[in-house]
Amino acid sequence: MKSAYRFSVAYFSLFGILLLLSGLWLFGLKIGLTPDTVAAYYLGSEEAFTQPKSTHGLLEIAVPHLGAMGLFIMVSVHFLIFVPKERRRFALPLSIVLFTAALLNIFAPFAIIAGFHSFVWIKIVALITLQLLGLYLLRIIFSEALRTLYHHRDI
Amino acid sequence: MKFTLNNDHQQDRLMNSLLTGLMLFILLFLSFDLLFKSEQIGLSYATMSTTLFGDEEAYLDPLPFTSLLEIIHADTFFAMMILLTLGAVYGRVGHTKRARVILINITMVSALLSIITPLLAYYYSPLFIWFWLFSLLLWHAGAIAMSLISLWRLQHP
Repeated sequence: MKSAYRFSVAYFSLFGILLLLSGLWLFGLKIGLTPDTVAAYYLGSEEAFTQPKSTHGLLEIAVPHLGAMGLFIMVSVHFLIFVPKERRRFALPLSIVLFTAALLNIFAPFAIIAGFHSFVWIKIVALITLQLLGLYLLRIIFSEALRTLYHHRDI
Repeated sequence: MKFTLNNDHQQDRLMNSLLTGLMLFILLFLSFDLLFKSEQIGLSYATMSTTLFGDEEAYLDPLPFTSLLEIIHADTFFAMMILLTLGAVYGRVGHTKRARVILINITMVSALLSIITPLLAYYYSPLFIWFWLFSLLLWHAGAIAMSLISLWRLQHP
């Protein structure tokens, strides 16, 4: 890997961390991180004078996230090919869990408005899983890019 | 991403034309993104300040913080994907190693600042709007330079 590309990969992981944190912040502000607030956001609340979310409204959020999250996970995990083999044995299970968490995160709201109330919990667990594993993955990519930059100071 | 792993795109006509097409699309994206930003948030201190904080005299409401965060969230995604791809191509075909590293670092750091500074402007001081404006213009200029140099080098190996 060329040094210019190592820099790009290191910055990619920093952008990724900002992307995940801004997503979590947005979720916390707009929806809230407790089961009650998540249910109230999607099903509407008399107290807060909010309407239930429509399928159209959920699709507007789901469609761009389907493309973006798939691409983000694929690109992020594929950078593990630059990590030494013995330190990337977890890459396959990690990618499966990340893709599954992303899908549940995107589609859980449809199940919530369809009446499956337990998906409120699935939404929260999927979000937290995606955030924690995403941050863990990006930290590995960032430290590996920095490590190889340090060991190949060929600028 | 094959072009990140092999060096023979100067001889490989298909890879060369694919990268040329990609660079043209990225150039268009960057140009229209600036145009869109000028409509969305403005590209001067006055218009950006009005977008963030509103204007009582003109009866303009401030931008809700969640809307600002949505803009930042989407911009982060596009910047990271565009700059990663651009960095991969420019890192292969750009000028000297030092020039490549310097341009990539300036562009990436300014892009990161353009994501963080609106939050600082919103929470701490309107003065950060200057940093926001400068970093936004700088990362677009850096990325446009990277794509133009890459285009030139792809056509004149």
